[in-house]
Amino acid sequence: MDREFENLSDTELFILLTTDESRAGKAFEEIYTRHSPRVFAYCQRFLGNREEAEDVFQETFIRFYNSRFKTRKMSNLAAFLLKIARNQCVNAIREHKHEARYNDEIMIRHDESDETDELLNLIKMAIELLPDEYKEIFIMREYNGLKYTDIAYITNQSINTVKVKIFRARERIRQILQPYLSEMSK
Amino acid sequence: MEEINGNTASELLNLLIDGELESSQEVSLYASLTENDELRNEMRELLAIRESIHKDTEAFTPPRTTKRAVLTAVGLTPGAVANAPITQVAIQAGFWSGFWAKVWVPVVSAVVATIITSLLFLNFYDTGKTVSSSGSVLKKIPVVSSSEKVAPEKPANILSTNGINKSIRKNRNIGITNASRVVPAPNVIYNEDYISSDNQTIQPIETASLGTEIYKTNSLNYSESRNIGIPVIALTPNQFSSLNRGKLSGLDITLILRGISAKSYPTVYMPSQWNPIISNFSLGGYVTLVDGLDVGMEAGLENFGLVYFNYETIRIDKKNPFLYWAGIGLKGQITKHIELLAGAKPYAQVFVGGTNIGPNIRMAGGLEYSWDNGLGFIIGIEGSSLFYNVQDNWYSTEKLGFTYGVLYSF
Repeated sequence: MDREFENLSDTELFILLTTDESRAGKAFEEIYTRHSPRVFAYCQRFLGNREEAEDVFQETFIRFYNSRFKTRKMSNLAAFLLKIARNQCVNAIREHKHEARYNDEIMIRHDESDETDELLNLIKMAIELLPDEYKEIFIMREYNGLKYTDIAYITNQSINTVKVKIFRARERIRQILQPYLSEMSK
Repeated sequence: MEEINGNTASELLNLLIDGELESSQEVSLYASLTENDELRNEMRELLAIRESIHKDTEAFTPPRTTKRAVLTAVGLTPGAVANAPITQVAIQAGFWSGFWAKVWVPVVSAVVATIITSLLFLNFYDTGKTVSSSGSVLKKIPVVSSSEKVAPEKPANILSTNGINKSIRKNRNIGITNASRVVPAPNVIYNEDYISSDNQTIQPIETASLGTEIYKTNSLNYSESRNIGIPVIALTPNQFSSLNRGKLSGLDITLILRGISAKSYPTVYMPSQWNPIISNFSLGGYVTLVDGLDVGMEAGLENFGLVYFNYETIRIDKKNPFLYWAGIGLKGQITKHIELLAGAKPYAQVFVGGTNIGPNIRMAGGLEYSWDNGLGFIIGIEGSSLFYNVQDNWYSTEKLGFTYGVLYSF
């Protein structure tokens, strides 16, 4: 049973999810197993707060399941899930759940850093400092490995805009990390 | 910053590392990278940032409880087969199928071990029969009354098998009662089932011309066998098992060939080019350090389910490779005869070694049984852990199942 589902493509799983009552549950479990790391990484790094990320992450999959009959054709399930996650994250930010804990969270992260992951902790802080419009695109590219076309689809922007935003996000992160990167290159 | 076809070299560099650079722009960018130190430095920094992000395991690991929460929220049960809205019956079917998937290996192992142990018990436990050296069943040995007085006879009449003597030396509790007499007759049958109530020890009193030791005690049970013309050896399986040990340079050496039928956790269902029946096996050699404790080496071939996060493709990768493993094992055994096990000996084994991708530890326990010719078999439960590293992250795979095989002691 499990083997059967593991070998199916995203599109085939989605078809089972929407057309085969008897196997929809297993199909959904497989979709969750396959895509949860990426979706959670996006939520976690975009919101910068684990508890809030967990809430949004759960809500993403619940909404996906409950709205599965609204989408007839699924060509890119990963992008579709991230689009739901993005909307949930934007809603969470709008509701100011995130901002109240923003500064404290950065301080906690700084305290948790150790030397072996020093660059990674600095990158996390640099991502937090990016404007949301750059941050989300940078995360989709670096954490989720999405192509420019997928990012453009999720964010409803042109591919050129995506290119420019990724470039600028990287420029800013490099600027923030410059003291560390200079030291590293010596 | 220099420009290439309307884009800066830095912009093209970003496209390059994202795999979005058009082929027509590659030559120009590579030329710039050759000449421009600053651009090369920028590329190194961007790659260092990406490499660090790939190590951000915290971000890629959703809490384990979340899956259950999500499935419950949408009306499903983890492991469920049916879709929401689902009936209670469907929920239960899903629960049991998931439960069975997790426990079938140990359950089957336990059932098989129980059946085999029961067969051993029924066939070899003292039910009033004794076994001759040729395998024929003899009559129940009559116990001589304690008042009878028996004198020693000619040495030629006395059972003269070196193996038996060794066996007797190793099993000093045999055949003792309070009777006061000496072993006399041909075809003497020593049976371990008659054990002294006061644990007296047999002492050698005489050496026959054929080099046979006659054992005397003031109370030794014996019986005469009348149905054969050759010496009859009627020993319990436990005595048989020790007959041929210790013949090679004073060392007890045991070779073990065994199969392993175990399930990987995590489980990966993937077809393999190997035949699992002939692939999941091991070969080992053990030397007895002290009575009941063997040390040796073992090597084998076994498949392990590997599930890890691939940071390059940003996907969970699953593999089910066959890996060679080898290492050092330590095996402890209860050497005392246990009536209930009919001569089979419980053993426990610890193994420390490695595979071609990482360290491997194993623990096993079960029953071992040997015949007089040195052949025997084992069956038991085995658990193992494999630790492996992928992209600077450590993962482990556990296996649990049963092991079975043959052994030869010489």
